Amino acid sequence: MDLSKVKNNEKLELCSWYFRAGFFGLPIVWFVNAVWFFNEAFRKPVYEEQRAIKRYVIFSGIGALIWSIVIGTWVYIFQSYRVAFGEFGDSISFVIPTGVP
Amino acid sequence: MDSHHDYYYVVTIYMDMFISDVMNRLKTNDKVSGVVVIVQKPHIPVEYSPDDVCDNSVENCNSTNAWNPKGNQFLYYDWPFPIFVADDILTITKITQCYNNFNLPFEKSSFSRPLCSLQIKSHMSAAVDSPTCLRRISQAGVSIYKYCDPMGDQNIILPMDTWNENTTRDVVIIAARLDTASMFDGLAPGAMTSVTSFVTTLAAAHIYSSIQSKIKDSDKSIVFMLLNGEAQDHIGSSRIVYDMEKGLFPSMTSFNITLKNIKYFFEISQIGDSPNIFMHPSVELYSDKIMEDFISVGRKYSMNWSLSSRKDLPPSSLRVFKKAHEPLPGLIISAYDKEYTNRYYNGLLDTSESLGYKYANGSITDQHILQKNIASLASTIASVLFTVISGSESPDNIPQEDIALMVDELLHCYLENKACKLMKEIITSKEEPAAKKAPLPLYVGVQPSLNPITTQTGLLLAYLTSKPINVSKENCTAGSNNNQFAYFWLNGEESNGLCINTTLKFTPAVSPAFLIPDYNWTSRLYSTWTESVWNDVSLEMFLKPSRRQEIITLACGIGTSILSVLVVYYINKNNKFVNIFSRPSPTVC
Repeated sequence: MDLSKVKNNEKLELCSWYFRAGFFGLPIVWFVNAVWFFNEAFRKPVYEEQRAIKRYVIFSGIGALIWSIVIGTWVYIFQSYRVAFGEFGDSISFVIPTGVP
Repeated sequence: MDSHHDYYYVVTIYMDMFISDVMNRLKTNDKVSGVVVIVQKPHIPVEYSPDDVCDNSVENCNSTNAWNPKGNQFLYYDWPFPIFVADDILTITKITQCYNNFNLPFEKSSFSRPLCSLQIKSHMSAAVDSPTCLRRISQAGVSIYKYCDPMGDQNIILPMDTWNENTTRDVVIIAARLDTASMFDGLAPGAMTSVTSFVTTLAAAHIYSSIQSKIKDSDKSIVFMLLNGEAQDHIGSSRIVYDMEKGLFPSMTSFNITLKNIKYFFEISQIGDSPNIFMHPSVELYSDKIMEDFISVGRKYSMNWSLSSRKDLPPSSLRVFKKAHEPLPGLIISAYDKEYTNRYYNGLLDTSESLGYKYANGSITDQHILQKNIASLASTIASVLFTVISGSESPDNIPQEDIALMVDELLHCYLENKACKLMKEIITSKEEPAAKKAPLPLYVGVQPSLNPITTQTGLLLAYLTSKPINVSKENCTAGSNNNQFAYFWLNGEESNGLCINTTLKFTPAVSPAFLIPDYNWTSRLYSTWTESVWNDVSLEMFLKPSRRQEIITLACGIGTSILSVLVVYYINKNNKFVNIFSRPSPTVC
């Protein structure tokens, strides 16, 4: 969708929907929201809905950041300590690599 | 080896360099990514046994009083690289030629020219240990992937009598192991490790079956056993013991043999061409007359039987039986006294050549000491068995020449040519060209795929001990109603086919560890060996380009992709030339 062809109030609605959808454990939606509406929030000349959009963009961005830190940390822990977890490590693995512990 | 550059090596060594000292140095060098061992004369070591000095971690044994002093434990190393064996002349010539042509003289400047390289592929799927890999298989959710298989096969059991399923009777067991350990896929000749002993058992069974009819009545029976997976912590014997304890041996529907009913357990182990036979008795036999019988009957067949000078039992299946039932009277019959005389125990060089076997092909002469020796030994054992069962003297007229010829054929089958005359009388097998004649490997393998040697040897044992019956092929399938007999249709001497009626049984040789729920893997009670699954094992030889050429190729590749990006960008920008890229989209959002 080309945002330049969307009316300002529809933009706000879209942005807020994306923000709300992100609460259902969908950090990528927040990330998309932050990137997609970044220009609208910070680089477009001022318009009425911009303040609200800006707020959604910032919070979506923060949410996505927190999520990525959490996921990144977990991936690091899982990849480094899966073997040390032993049986538990295998039971939470979806695909166990062959030939290595 | 210079380690200042980032090249990795596949080390090619002759078999006589495949020793602990060399291999440990290669193991610790992280530039070594593979080893190819060349088996070619005259580079054959005088001794090579990849097993432990105390094989199957036998008790009362350490490096100072080892049973297998030649053992280098290679089988139990955690090798960080794959090891391949090249034993065919074509591969060896190609590798040496390629090396001589391109890699010599080998110095630092060599990296500026193309070098001959080997690429080894041998990815093993399993990791960690048996419990882990089996657990992973059982836990597998979406990806059903097999990491390893429990090792095992089948035991061959031949009771020489049948009896009512509700009664028990004493049995005398004559056992030998069927398998040999192997470090390399398809290379487990086991000439002295197992072939001579199970061939002795086959011959003894044949002789006993021919004189058995002279026994009128007896309350004891003979059972011949060929045990499988013995190299892997006694898979076969421990399973038999387990089944006996459960009252399920030899099978659920027929008569039972229990540990208490074993009158004697004789095990034949590692026979050579020496007429000196050593007896390793369990304490229960010290006061038994049976050993004197062996000595006196052996003398008749010009064999010199004597008591071993070592008191403890050698690594054997008997130890497994004794562990389960301490007062079991057992005897190990072997050609070694205090330690193995076999210099290649469980190794790939334990072949007909190292054994000194020459195929007599129909005419036994004074040269064929091995065949005659095994025939004498088998005759001695069969005669003593006759005496044990009947209580009377055994007949003297065992035709030594015929037995030696049969032993010769048997050894030929197991040591030189799997498509031999005797095997063809059992099953239809393809005649191999002379160059490809090879014995069947004796490695036990994994349980889902049976080793052809088991079935063939079982049928051979049945063939050598039973008389054909006059039944057509169609009717030669059913066993008798109480499952004591089985009918097998074999090829026969003229390939006309014949039906035999036998008491032969194949019983599972899979470790009880894989049957017992929640088995304690660290208890060391049963064998827990598994074998990793693998696919795509290959060895490729090619010329690796010089470093300069590699850099030029890479630079060209990067240059081309940058150029293509630029061209596309330019064309896109100047869409007056081509406007296909910026045509307005038909749907407007």
